[in-house]
Parts: sequence; C-alpha cells; structure tokens
Amino acid sequence: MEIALLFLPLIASITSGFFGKFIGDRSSEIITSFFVSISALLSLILFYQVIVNNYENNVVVASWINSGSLNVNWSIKVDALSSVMLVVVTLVSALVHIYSIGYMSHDPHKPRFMAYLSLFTFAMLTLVTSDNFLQLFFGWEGVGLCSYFLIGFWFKKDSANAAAIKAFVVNRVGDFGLVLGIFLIFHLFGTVNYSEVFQQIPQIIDKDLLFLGIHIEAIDLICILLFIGAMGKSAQIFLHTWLPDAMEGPTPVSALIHAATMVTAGVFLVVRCSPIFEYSPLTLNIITVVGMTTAFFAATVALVQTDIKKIIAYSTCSQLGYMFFAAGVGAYNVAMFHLFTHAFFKALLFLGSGSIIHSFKDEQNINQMGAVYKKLPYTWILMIVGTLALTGFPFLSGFYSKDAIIEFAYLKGNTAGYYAAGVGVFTALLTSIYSWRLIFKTFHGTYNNNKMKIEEIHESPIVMLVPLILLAIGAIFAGFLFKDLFISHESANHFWGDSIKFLKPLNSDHPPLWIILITPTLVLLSIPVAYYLFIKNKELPNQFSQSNRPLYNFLVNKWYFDELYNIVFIQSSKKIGLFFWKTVDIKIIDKFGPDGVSSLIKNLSLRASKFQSGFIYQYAFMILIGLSALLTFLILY
Amino acid sequence: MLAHAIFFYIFSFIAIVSAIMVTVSKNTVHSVFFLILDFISISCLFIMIGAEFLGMIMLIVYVGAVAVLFLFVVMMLNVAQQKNQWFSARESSKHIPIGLIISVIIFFELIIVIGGWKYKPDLMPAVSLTMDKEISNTHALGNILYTDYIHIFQLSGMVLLVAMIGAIVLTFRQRSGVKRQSYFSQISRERSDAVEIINVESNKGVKFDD
Amino acid sequence: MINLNFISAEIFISVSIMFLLILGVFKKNSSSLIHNLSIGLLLITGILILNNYPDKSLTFFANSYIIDTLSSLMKIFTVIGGALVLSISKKYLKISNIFLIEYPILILCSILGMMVMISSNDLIVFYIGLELQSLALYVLASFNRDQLKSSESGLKYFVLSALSSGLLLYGCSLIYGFSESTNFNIIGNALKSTHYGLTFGIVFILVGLAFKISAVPFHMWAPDVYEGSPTSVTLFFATVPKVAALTVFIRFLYVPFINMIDQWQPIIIFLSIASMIFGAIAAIGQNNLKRLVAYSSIGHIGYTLAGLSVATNEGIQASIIYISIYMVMNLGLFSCLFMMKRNDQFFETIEDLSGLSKNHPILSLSFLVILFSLAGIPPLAGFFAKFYIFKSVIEQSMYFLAIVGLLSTVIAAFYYLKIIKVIYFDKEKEKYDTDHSTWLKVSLAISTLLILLYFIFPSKIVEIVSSVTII
Repeated sequence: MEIALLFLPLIASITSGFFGKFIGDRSSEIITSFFVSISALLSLILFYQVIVNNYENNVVVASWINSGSLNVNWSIKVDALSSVMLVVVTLVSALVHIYSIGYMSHDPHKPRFMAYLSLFTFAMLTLVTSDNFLQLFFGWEGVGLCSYFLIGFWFKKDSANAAAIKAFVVNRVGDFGLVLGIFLIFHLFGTVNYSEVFQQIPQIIDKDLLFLGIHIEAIDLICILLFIGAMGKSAQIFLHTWLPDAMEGPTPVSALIHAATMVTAGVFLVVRCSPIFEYSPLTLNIITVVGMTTAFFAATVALVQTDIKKIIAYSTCSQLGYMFFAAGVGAYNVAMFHLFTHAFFKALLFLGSGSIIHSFKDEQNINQMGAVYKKLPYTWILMIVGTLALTGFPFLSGFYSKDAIIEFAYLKGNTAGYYAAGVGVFTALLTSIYSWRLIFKTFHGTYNNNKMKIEEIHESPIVMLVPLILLAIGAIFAGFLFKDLFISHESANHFWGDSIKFLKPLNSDHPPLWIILITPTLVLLSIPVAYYLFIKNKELPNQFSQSNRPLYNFLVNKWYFDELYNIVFIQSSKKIGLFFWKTVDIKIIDKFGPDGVSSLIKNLSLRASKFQSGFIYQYAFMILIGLSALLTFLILY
Repeated sequence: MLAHAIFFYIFSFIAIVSAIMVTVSKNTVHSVFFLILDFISISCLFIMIGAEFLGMIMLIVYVGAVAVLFLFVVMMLNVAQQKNQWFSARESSKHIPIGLIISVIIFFELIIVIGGWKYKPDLMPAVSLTMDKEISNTHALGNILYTDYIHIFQLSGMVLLVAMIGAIVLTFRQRSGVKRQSYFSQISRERSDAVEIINVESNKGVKFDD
Repeated sequence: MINLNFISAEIFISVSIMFLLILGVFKKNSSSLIHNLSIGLLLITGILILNNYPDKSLTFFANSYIIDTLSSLMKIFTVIGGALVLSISKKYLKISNIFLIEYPILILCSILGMMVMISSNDLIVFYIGLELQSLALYVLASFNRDQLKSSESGLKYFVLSALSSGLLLYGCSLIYGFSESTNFNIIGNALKSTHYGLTFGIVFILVGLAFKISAVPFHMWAPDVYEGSPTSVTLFFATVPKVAALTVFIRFLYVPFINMIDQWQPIIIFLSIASMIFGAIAAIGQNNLKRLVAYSSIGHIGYTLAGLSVATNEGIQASIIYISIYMVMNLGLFSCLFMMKRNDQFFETIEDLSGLSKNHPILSLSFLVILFSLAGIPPLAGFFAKFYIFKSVIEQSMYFLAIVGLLSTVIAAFYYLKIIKVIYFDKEKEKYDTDHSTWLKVSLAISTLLILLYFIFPSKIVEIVSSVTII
C-alpha cells in the first residue's frame, strides 16, 4: 500500500510527461488526477489506521548508498507525523489536479503541466516519508526543482522566468544551510538515518565546535543550520522574497506548492527533528523570534498589496510564521495542527482566487474588481468560508489552531513566549483586516474593471468548484474534528507517539480566559471595521496612507527587502562576477591558460614541423646530440 | 716480443693514419686507395695475433672484391664535379660550432670510459689465451661456425639473400626493345631453319615472304 | 639433439621464402599467387607458433635463442600483423604499379628478422635479426623506385639506420668488453657495477633501439620515411616492426640490464616524456595523414615506453596490450586511407577528407571510432590501453610521468578531433570509389568492431597477456 501510494504519482508523471503527446491532453489529465486521487484515498486509509491502531511501518524500497559507514535506504516511513503530511499532500494535490483540468483548459501544454504536478507530488511524498536526511534532501531538492518548473511554467513570460530563478536561487541559500547541517550530522554521528541520529543526540549535548572562529555547541549549530534550510523552503523572513514572486506561476501551483505543501516542508523538518531541536533552547528561541517576526511582517505587507495572489502569498508567509513560532515554543503538535488546517483554508483561498482570476480573464489586481458577488455566488461564499477559517472565526478550523498557538506561546512562560503571544494576537487582527479587505474589494463596492463588462463575468465550471467545495468542508470541520487528536494533552503521547519528542511534557495549565477570548473578539470586531474602511468610507484609508506616506511606502515596498538584497547581494555579486569574467577570466586565465597554452602549442607545433628540415645530416646530428645529452646526463647523475 | 710490439705499433699507426686520410682526402680515388691500405694493415694485425684466416679473408674479400668495386664505381663517376657539390654546402657551415661542441663532449666522455678501462685489473691479456697449435685457424672457425653458431650462419645467408633481392628490385629494369643474344636459339638452330634451297627459274627471280 | 618443434616457425618461414622466390622466378606473372601464398604461409606460421606455445621459457643454440611466453605472444602479433598488412594492401600495390613478387617476400624476410629479434637471447643473434629486418625494410621503403619520394625515404632510412646500428654495435662491444659474454643471462649476472663504461654501453644500445622505435629525439627519420614510402609500407612500418622492437626493448631492459635499472630508468622516462609531448605537439601542424600517423606513432611509443619504465610486470603487460591495441587501431586507420581512392589515385591529406560523412557515412563512422580510440576516449579500446599504462605508472608513484602523459593526451586529442571535424563539418568533396576489396572491408570492420567492443572483453586480453612475466 505504501509503495503504491508513493509511486502512483511518479507513474502518472512519467506517463503524462513522456507519453502525453500520444495519449492526448484529456487522457493525461484524467490519468494523473485519477492516480493521485487513488494515492489520496490510500493515504486517508493509512491515516485512519494510524489513528485507530497506531500503525507504524518503515518500508525499505531499495538500498541506496552503501559506502563505508554511510548506509542509506530508499524507504517509506509511516508514522503519525508522516501520515498527517501524506494526507495533506495527497489530498490537496488530488484536488488541485482536478481543479487544474478546469483552470488550465485554455493552455496548450496540459500534459506537461500535469506531469510536473504529479512529479511534485512524488517528490513531496519522498520528502515526508523519508527515514533519513539524505532521502529528505532528495525530496527537498525534488520539490524545489518542480517548483522551479511550475513557477516558470509560462516560460515565455520574462517575469515568470525571473521568478522561477529567484525562487531557485533563494532556496539555494537555505539548502546550503540544510546540506551543511546534514554534513555536520554525518560528521558527528556517522549516520544520517533519523532513528540512529536521534538516539545519539543526548551524547553530544555538551560538545563544542569551532565554526567560523566561534565556539558553539554542536547541537545548536546543527539546529541552526537545519533551521536555515527550513527558513528557505518555508519563506521565513530574510529568505521570504521568492514566495510573492512565485505567484507568477499558474494559480493551482500556488495553491499546491506555495500554500499547502512545499512551503510547509520547513515546518515539517523542524517537527521531524524535534528530538534534536528539543535539546537546543537557543535555536528554539531563534525560531520563535523569526516565526513571530515573519508573521507580523507579512501581515503588515499584506495590508497594502493590491495583487490578489500576492495578498494570499503574504498571508501564507504570515501563517507559516505562526507555525514556526508554535514549534519554537515547543508545541510541535500545534504547529502540525495549524499546518493541517492551514492547508485546507489556504488552498481554498488560492483556488478561489484562481477562480476569480479565471473569471476576470487573468486580472489579478483587486482594485480592478468589485461588486461581483452576485455574478460569482459560489466562489464568493467559498472565499468567505476560507477567509473566516483563516482569520480564526470561532469554530472554524483556523480558530482552533491559531488560538492554540497563541495559548501555548503564552503558556511557555518566558519572555519570548509572552512576546510571541502578543504579536500573535496583533497579527491575527491584521490578518483579519487584510483578509476582509480582499473580500470587500473583490466582491463588493463598485465595479472597477474597464477592460471587460460586468455582464461578461461568469461563474467557473463545476470541475473547478467541486475541489473548492471539498476544501471548504475541510476548512470548516478540520479544526473541530481533529483538535482532540492533534493538540489535546493525551495526544502528545497517544497519537504522536515517538514521531514527536517533548523533552518536558507540554504545559497542561489552562490559560487565563482573557487570552482565549481576546483573539476571537478582535477578529469579530475587525469585520465591521474592515467593512467601514473599505466599503463605506474608502477615503479614510487613502487619507491615512497620504498622511503617513513613508509608512505606506515602506509597506508597499515590502519593507524594502528586495531593494536591499538588490543592492547588497545582487549588484555587488554582479560586479564581482563582471570583474572575474572580464578581468580575471578573459584577461588573466584565458590569456595565460587555454588561449595562451593553445597558441603556445600551435607555435611549438610550427617549430617542430620546421625542425624537420629533410636533410639527412641534420637528422644524424640530432641523433648524436641526443646521445651526448643522455651520456652527459648519466655522468652527472 | 720486441719485434712483435714494434710491428704492432707500425701497423696500427698506418691503419689509423690511413683511416683518417680516407675521410680527409679530397680526391675520392685517393680515399679508396687509403681504404685499401687500411684493410691491408688491419689484415696484418690479424695475422700478427695468429688469426691468419681472418687476415687472408680480409685481403681477399675487402681488398680483392669490395675495394676494387669501389674503385670502379668511383672512377665511373665524375669526381671533379662531385667535389664542388659535396664540400661547398652553404647550410652546413653554421652547424660546425655546435658540431664541434658535441663531438668534443662525446670525445671526452669516451675518454672517461677508456680511463676506467685502464684501471680495470682483471682484464685478460691476449697472450694468456691458450691456443691449440694442432688445429688450424680455419678448422677452428669451421668447428664453431657450423655447430654453435649454425643459426647465425644461416641467418647471415638470409641477410645476404635479402641484400641480393633488394639490389635486384631496386635496380633491375626490364627494358623493351633491347636486342639480346639468345644462346639457346643460337645453338639450337638447325640447318633446315636457316637455309632453304630454292630452284630459281630463269628470268623470274625469287619472291620472299617477309 | 634440440627440440626443433619450438623453432619450427622460423624454419618454416625461411623455407617458404626460398620456395616463393623460386616459384616467382620460374612462373611468369605469379605476383598475385605469391601474394596470396605468403598470406597463407604467414597464417600457417602463426598456427605453428600457437601450436608450440610454451608454458615456460626454453633456450636453444647454446642458450642464445629463447622461446618463452613473451616471444611467442609477440611473434603471433607480428605474424598476424604481417598477414593483415599484406591482405589489405594488395589493391594498393596493383594500382601503384609495384605489385611484384619481391614485395611479399621482403615482408616475409623482415618478419623472419623480427622473429629472430624477438627470440634473441644473445647480442649477436639479436644483431643479425635486426639487420635482417632492417635490410628488408630499407628496400621496402624505396620499393616504389620510380618515385623520387620513395627512393629518398629509403635512402634516408638506410643512412640513419646505419648510423644507429653503428651506435648499437659500439654499445654491444662495450657491454661485451665488460661482461665477457654476449649472452643476455650472463651479461645480466655480470653487470652489477656502476662503471661508466657499462653505463655508456647501455646508453649506446638504448639509443640504437630508440632509433628503431622512433622515440624522440631519435625520431627524425620517421616522418619523412612514413610520408615517402608507399602507403602499404608505411602501414607495415607503423605496426609490425614496433612490436618486435618493443619486445627487444623489454628483453634488453629486463634481462641483461636488470641490475642497472638506476641507470636506464631515467633514460626511458626521458624518452617517454619527450616522445609523448613531441608526438602530440608536432602532429598538430601536419596536413599529410601519413606524416600525421608518423607523429602519432611517436606519441604512442611514448606511452608504451612509460609502461616499460615502471619496472613491474604490470607495466610490461600494459605496454604489450598498448602496442597490440595500437596495431589494431593503425590497421583500421590505414584501411580507411586505402579507401580514399578516386580514379586509381590515392589521397592522403586532411583536406581530402573534408565532408566525407556526407558521401561515405559508414567509412566516416569507422574513422570516427578509430580516431576517438587513438585519442583515448572511453569506452573505446584506446582508452583502456592508456588506462592500463597510467594505472601501472601511478601504482609506482611516478606521478610526474602520469601527469605529463595525461596532458599530452589532451593535446593529442586536439588533432584527432580536428580530423573528425573536417570529416563531419566541412564542405563535402567529390565521392571516392567504392570498389574496395573484400579483405579491406573485412579488415576495417573487424578493427572497428574490436575497438568498439573491447570494453566487453577486457579481462580476456589481460588474462592472456598476464602470462608474460619477465621480472
């Protein structure tokens, strides 16, 4: 079952990718969707078994590397953690596959698109089912590669290519950290298999390392390096710049990769390595701070964006920040829970926005929309469901997970925890405001699009709506149904078992009532505020932005991260590159290296030919010279 | 022994001087004569160490055959003309300094070797060789030439064969239109082939076929 | 009574030579018959050698003639090489008007000389064999006597070879003077001191031998002779005598001079490095394919010498494998050259190859395979040949030699690739004739396949050669 689960997407991808021309567009769509759906069903069954029977298994598919002490297998590890990820990945993937049939209906390269999607699914599955760091890294790079393909799917668009390259390059920074982390792990433990590494962790707690001239505890260094990898993939602050640009890809891709699955790989990595992170309080604090900052930063930026997908992208960034600070305060299960619920409502939001974009014929600016809720009733309702879930409206999924994060952060009891809880509450408010801004600007108010008439707007086809409805069901009920399983105090031992390690049992105190109530209250209050700001009195936000120009610009330009990177890294590295190319390579290396050597040899060759004069006496003389040279050499030698 | 030594040095001196003269002499005919002189003195040296067969063979083969052949060849060529060609090469003059250096180097290096030889104590003196006076030189040579060295002897034959084939291949030309004497047809000619008796009728004459 | 079985091949070939000579003289217009007969007789000789393949070394004629695995193996290479050369050059000889009975007979004579050289265990026997083969080669080089270039090359070869023989003989006399014997084994036991005289003897002999295999700086004759001689003779020069000379080299270095390794090792390394570099560099400027082959053979000899210089059995075996693969590659290359014929005229410059691939795709493909292999590109046979050499060199930690070898491989690859570029990417020319003899086609196909498929059965060859242990 596990093998089928893992390899069906691969088979689908190969079929569609290599034989797509022969079997036709429609067949490749059906095959990929069908295979991935089966995969999703299998993972649901697996998930059920894990819940009921505490099923655990490690299927070794093949031995990969067997060299010295390095023994690495291709394996499928099934436990609570990976089963949750399996469900998220395959379910969202299957729905996105189906949705893509509708969304990509006008695209000439459907088989290629479906092949990439399935290949991505396969890579993501290898990532989550790995039982060692190397296979994890394989999956990690695999999803990065597929992400590159998919962002740059419309490769004729320059911006798409640039975005794809940006995503790849920024991820490289994170991957470098991850690779170093894996190297360090192998160096210290002589193995990269999870179980063996985790067992040996307590032995190296007090070990010091000299890294870049700094004495640092080995465990801290490992954790920081791994976390840098996670930051890259999960678009945390400093390495987040690729995520908004990645919205150049088709919207289903954004839903699948940049909302539900790939970007959560970082969170998964941290949770998977909880047995390591638990021993490094320093890193946990760093994670908390980074996560909190990202959550806040992304939410503020989302407030002023006008591109519908970028708003959701920043929202994703922000929610990922929540997950990280949940992990940072030691509540890994809560992080997983938020990952789980977030997958539903964020995929819903993305696919919903895709539906809107589809209806508006590829218009993404929310200022160009409005007043279409009657034209797109299903999309409107579904988007509202997604928004409610995201903002944490009581009893929808986001409510349970986000509140739990804030509570656990508060219960952590240290400065970082309190601070995080505070920022979490404030960010929740911001989230609510920008989410409702999106809804109001898109569906309500006045119709602002001059390119097409309002009459031409029509609802998306059923094949696109069905996945949305399914996701909406998930967004509504996932939190309520699974909260006991994921985050109740028993679940830490019962459901999660060995897959997550808690050094100290989670704080079982009940947080004060006000902290439970404050978030929902703020969220509820924000709805009318948003309505007032963006529908009733549109001048107010404008006036506000006019009067606070610097702040507004600061936010619109995303805290000037891109500009800063441009100056610090891109321009300078371009200059260095130019220097090395024009001066070092062409003028020095080429001149004395390849070009110099080749002209030298040409010269020598000419001389050697000339040397061959054709006169016998010269030839004889040459023999004698050779003889005397050898004799002299031997006498002196 | 004194006479022996004196003659040895006389013949050696003649051999060396004539060898030098072979190369130095500008007249090719003189060179060949010096070569003959060289051969003769060397054969004398052979005879002095008791190798009378080798000495005689030397005289017969080299002086009697090879050198005389050389002489013929040299005399058939235009010596005067060649002289100019061979010794007035413009190119070679610039090689002379390097050539001198190289030859001096090799010369001194060979002196080192000879110097080593002189101090080699266990070199066998020639007089200590015991010679069986009963067996003649020719006999002794034949004894080993046809036993221990039979294969070399035969192979030398092959070498000569190849030399012969080579000489024929490179020089022999079948020329057409050359009138040759055919001994066979000359001898086997019968009266009946050559003479025909015809009765000539008066006032008619004879008509020949060819 | 000695057992003549083991030298039956030599006896047989001598008798054949005389028989063929008599037959040729008395039967008119028998060139073709003699040619075919000589091929057959060579093959029979090969079978005779194979039949009496020794499992240990045996000596004859007062220890002056040796039959061991090395000699038998190399004789088989020689004989087969000779037969192949004869079989593919028939048409060429006919067209060049040199289809005479003496041609195959001279080849047989020179092969007899090589066999004697290969088996010699004595300075005199060695020298007689050497002269026998060289004498035949001089004549062969100037065989096309009506052509100025051919005569010139024969003369050059003769004069320079005489000089080298003189040096060789001088070395032999020095060695004899010090060891009081001409027998290799006795010399080997006697040569222990580091006296200059001995060293000089070795140097003189090595110089003479290096001339025969055209190692730098004693190579000057090779390009001129290769270019001037008839192509079939060039092929013979480039393949068969190298095998014999290499064997003699092995024999000299590892039997009589084994105790003088400190003296000769730097010489061999020097010869090897100089040959590799010079062969690679000088070939770049060549336009005539035959001249280019001459330089490439100089380079390849450098690699075989590198194998000899390491003084291990592995090195010797690597050299033997190298020379045999080299022989196959050259046979293939010359088969291609023989196919470059238009209206009974042969072409031999690189320009004549331009655009060959458009008109003759299969011939071009063979060219490609052979040239790639000569350049040492995996997985072709030439790569393995070089690989064995470098392996044995590196095993003895002679890194400098290995690095120089690798660098010169890179340089050499340039001119091989240049030819391929001309064949595949330049403007096409007129078509060549396609009426090639079956033998030529078969030989090209076999050599190409051998090169191409060598990687399937490398262990077989290595196994055969590994029976050769000298040290």
